Amino acid sequence: MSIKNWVLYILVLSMSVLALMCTYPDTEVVDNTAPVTRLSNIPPTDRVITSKNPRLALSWVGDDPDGYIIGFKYRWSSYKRNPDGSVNPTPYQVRPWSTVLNIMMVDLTVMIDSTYAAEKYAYKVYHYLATLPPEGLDASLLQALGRGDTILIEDVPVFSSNPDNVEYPVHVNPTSGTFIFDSQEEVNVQVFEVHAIDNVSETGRAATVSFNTPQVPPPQTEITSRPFPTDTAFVDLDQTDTFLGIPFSFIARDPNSRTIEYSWKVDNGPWSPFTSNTTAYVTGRDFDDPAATAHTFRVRSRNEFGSIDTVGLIRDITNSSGEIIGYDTIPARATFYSTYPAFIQPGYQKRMLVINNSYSVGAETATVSNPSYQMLEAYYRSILDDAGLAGKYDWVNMDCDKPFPGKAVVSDYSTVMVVGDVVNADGKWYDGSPSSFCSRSLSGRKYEVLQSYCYIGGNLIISARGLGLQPNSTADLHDKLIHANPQPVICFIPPNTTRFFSSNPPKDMAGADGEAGYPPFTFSSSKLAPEWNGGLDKIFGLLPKGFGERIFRYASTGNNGDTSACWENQIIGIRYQGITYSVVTLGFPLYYVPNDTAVAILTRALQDVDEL
Amino acid sequence: MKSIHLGALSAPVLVFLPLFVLLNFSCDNPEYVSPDPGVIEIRFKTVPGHIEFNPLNSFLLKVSDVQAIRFDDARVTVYEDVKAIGRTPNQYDVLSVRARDSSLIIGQYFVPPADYKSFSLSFEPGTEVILDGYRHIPVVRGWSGTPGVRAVFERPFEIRSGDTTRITLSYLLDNSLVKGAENYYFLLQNAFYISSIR
Repeated sequence: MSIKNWVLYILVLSMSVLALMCTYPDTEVVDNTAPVTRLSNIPPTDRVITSKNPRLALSWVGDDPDGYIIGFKYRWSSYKRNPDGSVNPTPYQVRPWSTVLNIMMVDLTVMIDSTYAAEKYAYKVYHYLATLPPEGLDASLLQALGRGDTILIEDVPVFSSNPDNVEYPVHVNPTSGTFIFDSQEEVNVQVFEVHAIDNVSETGRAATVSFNTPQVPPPQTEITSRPFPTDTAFVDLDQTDTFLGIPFSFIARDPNSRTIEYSWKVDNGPWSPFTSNTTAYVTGRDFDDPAATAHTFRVRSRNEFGSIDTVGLIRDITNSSGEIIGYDTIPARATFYSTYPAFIQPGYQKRMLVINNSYSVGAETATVSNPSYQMLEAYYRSILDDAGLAGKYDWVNMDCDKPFPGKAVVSDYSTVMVVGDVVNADGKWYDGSPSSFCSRSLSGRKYEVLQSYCYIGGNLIISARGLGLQPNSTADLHDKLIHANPQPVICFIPPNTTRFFSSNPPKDMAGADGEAGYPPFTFSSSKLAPEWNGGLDKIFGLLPKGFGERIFRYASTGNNGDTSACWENQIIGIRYQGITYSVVTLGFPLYYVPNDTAVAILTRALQDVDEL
Repeated sequence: MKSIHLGALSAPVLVFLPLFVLLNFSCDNPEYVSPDPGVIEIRFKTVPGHIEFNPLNSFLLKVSDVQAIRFDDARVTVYEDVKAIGRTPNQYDVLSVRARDSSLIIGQYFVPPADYKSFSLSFEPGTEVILDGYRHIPVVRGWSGTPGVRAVFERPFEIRSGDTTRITLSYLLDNSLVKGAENYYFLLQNAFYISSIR
């Protein structure tokens, strides 16, 4: 090795030895400096504020000169005032510490379960969340937080204060909170304290603020919608697709509260849980006795401060000058009446009500073609008996002095049959206007009875001529019960005319072809007037809707050439077999069908509505 | 400083000799052959219920995506048939005779041979059931939000090279299409199950 190399070698060796022998001064251990916490928006120390209501928003900050803030813990104590006005030094309530971490998961705040001491567990959770990879928290955990679930982070239960389903969260960030302070007394003293927590889990002195919160009055509740006081509502034990319950709507007013919840009960039953729903649907299970007819519905509301209204609505009574001279209390309760139909009760024996809603032909002008009530009744009784219903039905004739059966009457029958086989010259079941006292239009109250009867589970059979001509019989009756809408028939009449026919041409319907187990028929010639040329008019085409199915198709006499051909096969009979009720509609008068075939049709219809 | 001179041929020798040595003695050329793919075939079967199988009755499911999922979570899109070059949404009538007879194929394609843990189906129920050719009954979904769903059927299966694996997905009509007063409800709970893998 050359001299140069030796020199280099010795130099390196010396420096290495020196480095190894060097001692370094001891590292000085410095005590941690506790964080400093400050509350913002607080009054001067010589003043105590009284808030407008028990809800208050507070905000705070924390500083740490030798580290950083990982979270905040807070609580408050509530005190009562003594009769002499002084504050009782012993709080009547001290809330447990709550801890919110100084970190957000996207837009979610993070809080630690209050049973886990902040000083022991906050840093562990904070460190985990603060050192997540760029992708952040696992998607499923983030979703769980967003749902309001509690998840485990480093074996510590953690949740968010502002999940998706909380409309008014306490925290939307770690440095503020909107709290509701318990305020059962007229004036309540609250002391709020908050500590910042630093990265070595030290908390330092609390920042505190005292203030008064007033007791706030409860909301005032009013029932805004309920069954008509003189009406009777059908009721079942449980909801069905067509019976949701007897509806009641209500609303409460409270200018202090952001949220209001409601609870209701019927008779002596239990109060329902508080929810934000402003409509209640009452069923038979809510009654003391489902078969009882008179009931009382009560509702109460609760504001976000926990005050519950038990009084109702308080209205001012004013004099003619507008001065308030007193108060009137309108309790949030309502009396209503119900009918629990016999046909949905166990042990019921089926029975049918036949309502003769036809045009009334006087005995002196009645003919076989234009029968009187007595002739119609005799015919129907014979075919009903032959169909197997002997002794199992009642017959009622509608007339000017006989009101349409109400809910209390129809609730005893499992099936109602409406007969409208005879019409006047205009094709109607009555003379005069639909609103006349003698009107047999199935509209208004009569329709309401039929609809609520069906919706609670009653069945309906209709045999009618001129069904589409009865005002208001075409709208809801067709749409909601019959499940078919009157269908104008469009006929092309050569050489170049197109005509719309709402009802069939005169003297045209000879009979009908049956489907779905219904037999075909031709009208009985002995019942048709000679001038009718073997065909009936005032028949309407029907367009099935939804579950409605065709059971009869029009058969023409051919008396009207192209128009007759056009009407051939139009649908005139509909069957609806629903999950709650069934309706069979014969859009033609059964009276004119030969007896044997009429019995077969009636038998099939009774089977379809489950009466046989 | 002394310098060393090389001959005229030395430069190429210096470049190519190391290359020659490296290529022939350092590269490994193991024997390797890619396996042939297998075929996955997914058939749809409707279990008979309250609605008849009838050319006049129909209820459509619109299938937009079928995927096979391997155990390492790799996904393979299964097209409608082996000749397809892409997956397009298709509508299948669950009340057709083909659905009754398990001959309705909703996915058939080449996939790498491996063990698979599940397959997924993205579909949307039709908005109406047609009965007897003229009755249009609305269908109400049993969930809110987007009409489409992605169902994952977790049942392991193996795809072998050169073989076809047939999976039959059965649809329980009565559990899924529930009659309401004015409509059918389309529900997902207990509506599907894998009835066979062959």
